[in-house]
Amino acid sequence: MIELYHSQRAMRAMRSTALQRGVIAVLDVGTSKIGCLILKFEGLEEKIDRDGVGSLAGQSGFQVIGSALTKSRGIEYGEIVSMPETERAIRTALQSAQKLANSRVDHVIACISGGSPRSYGLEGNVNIKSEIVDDRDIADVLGSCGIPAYEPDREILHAQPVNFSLDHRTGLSDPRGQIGKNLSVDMHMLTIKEKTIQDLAYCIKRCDLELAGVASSSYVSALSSLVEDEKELGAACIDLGGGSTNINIFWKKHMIFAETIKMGGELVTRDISMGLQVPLSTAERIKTRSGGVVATGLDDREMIEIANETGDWELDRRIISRSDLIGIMRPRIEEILEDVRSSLNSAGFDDLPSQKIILTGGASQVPGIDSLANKILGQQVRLGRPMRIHRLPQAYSGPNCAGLVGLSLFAAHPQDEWWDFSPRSKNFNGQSVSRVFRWFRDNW
Amino acid sequence: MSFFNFKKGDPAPSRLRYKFSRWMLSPLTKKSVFYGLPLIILAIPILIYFQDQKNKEQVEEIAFDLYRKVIERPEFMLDALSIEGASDSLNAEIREVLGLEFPISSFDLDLDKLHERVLSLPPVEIAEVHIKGGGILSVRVDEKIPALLIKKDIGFNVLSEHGQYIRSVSSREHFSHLPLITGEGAENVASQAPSLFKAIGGELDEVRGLVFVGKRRWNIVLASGQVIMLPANNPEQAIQKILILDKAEQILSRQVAIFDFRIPSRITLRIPTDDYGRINSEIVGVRN
Repeated sequence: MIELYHSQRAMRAMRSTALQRGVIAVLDVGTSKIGCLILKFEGLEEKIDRDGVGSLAGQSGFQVIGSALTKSRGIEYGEIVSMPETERAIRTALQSAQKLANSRVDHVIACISGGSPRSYGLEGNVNIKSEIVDDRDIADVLGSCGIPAYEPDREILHAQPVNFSLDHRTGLSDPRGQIGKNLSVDMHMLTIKEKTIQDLAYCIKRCDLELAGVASSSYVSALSSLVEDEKELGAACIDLGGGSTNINIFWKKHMIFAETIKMGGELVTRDISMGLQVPLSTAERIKTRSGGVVATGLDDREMIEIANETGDWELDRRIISRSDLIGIMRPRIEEILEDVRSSLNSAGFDDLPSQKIILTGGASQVPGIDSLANKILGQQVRLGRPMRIHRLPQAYSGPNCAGLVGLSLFAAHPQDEWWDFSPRSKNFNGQSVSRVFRWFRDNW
Repeated sequence: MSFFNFKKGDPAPSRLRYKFSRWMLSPLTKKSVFYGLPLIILAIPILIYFQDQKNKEQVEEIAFDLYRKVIERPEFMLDALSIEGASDSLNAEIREVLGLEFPISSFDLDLDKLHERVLSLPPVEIAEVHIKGGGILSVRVDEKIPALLIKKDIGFNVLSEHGQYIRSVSSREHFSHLPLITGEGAENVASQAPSLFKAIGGELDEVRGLVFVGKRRWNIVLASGQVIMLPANNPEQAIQKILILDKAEQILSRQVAIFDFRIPSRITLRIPTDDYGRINSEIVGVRN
């Protein structure tokens, strides 16, 4: 069993060894599909040092050498319910991606959508000992944040400094090297259920892989779908996934809110399955081929054949109109978007200067969902597609792979988090000597 | 039944299969399979073929024939030996020591070894061995110049200016013009002798030779039987002194048996004596 908070720093070290080896895998464990990309890093450092953003928004330091998408098994609402099934699905994805990459991969960065993420805003404040702010001061101010009481079964997944203030100046992204007396920080912390992340870590360990990082899938899909100015001015990324819908608000290039609604595209499929009395696979096919949310007069005349294979001719050869299908799908999608609206309201999204909303994820491919979202969420809605990364196959460039692409970006340039700064030890000498002594006593 | 169908349709690899595929993709295994395996497959038939002694010999024979055919092409053959700068006797010696039978392929020659062999002949000072165009092996030598004659128990040795051995002769007849040295251990310090002879120059025309005495100093023996004993240190200066004395006082023409210059500041003259130690001006001999 991993203790997430204590292993975060170890995972960062694992990530840097993986980058040295040059190959790392990213794994998006979703409710409807498991996706895996194998990334090859080469000459990353020199590209970072260059002035400006560089080609492909600075993401040209890596390329995709292997990819696999497989149907997810043993996962409901973004949480693992059957460990062996999930393990098999991960094995399937990894093996085919490795085969394509023709190289073995030992480190994996994973994201998970379930575990009911909860956002907290933290504040910290310290007086600076030396005049100039350095890494230690940052660590101090991060350490001074009051941690809110969260349930003991939760773990911190992300803890990112969002905004620094030095004396009377605020809105600093990196105060190091500046002169001041009082440093304060606003931090965004995300906790998820401990069990969810431990299940995932155990599955990955069973596949002989080392976990080199974990991320919330709502965060990573926002990373890939939002463009720079949306991240800066404030935008909400709605990832309409299979089992859950993830909401993520970005402002000033930082995630400031994340939430998950346990409703997604599979619920729509289930509605169709129940409404039309067809198996789930048939319902899924009908939904993806003919689905929609806005009915027009033409849809009354467009007939859909339910090509079922139960053997009962009467049942299999039924014909429905597209309006019927829309009539089943629209209420459920409306319900999901209503929930998104109330969630955004509770997060105070209206107070942000920009009200941009980006829809991404597999369910955002339903035709007409943007006009429906306009009515429910506001006027500034657009459909987002993940940004391009090197050698990404065409099949992975759709909105359903936003999480996968975002995870690749996360693997290449992770945001600095709480545990990236080592805190100042109080009595440095005595402590380190006693630690060395203890080590000798334990090992010799 | 459905259970089996499910297993059959399961796209997931089994744990073992998954591990095996990962092992196959690990860098070392990948390399050894893609390079090592074909190499082994190629190497095994070859090894089996050469396991048979008959096959091995056959292949070796073919290879050797091919080699001979190439190196014995007329372009590589040498037909003659040309020797420059050697006297007739040395010429014959060089031919003998090289021991080559022409025609011979230049691949079969080791020029360094030949050069060493020529140099190992005592009369040779400098030697060059190289192959000239037109199939000629050219040897150029500089002979050592005879400068001294040293008396041995039987016959004489001819030495160069630096005291290097050149050859032995039974009589002085061909080398009567060379100065003669003798004495125990004289061959080790023969290189000192030319400078002494040079210091004497033409002034003392009746010099018979130098005798090395006591392994440390020289005596000049004159034709008249008189002996000049030189010091161990700086004998050239002593000779100069003698020459000056001789010019001024004609000491060498007097009836003196031994001129003792061993201590230059105290020159001693010995008058000839007979066997009983009596001074007799009739006797001109050296008691040595």
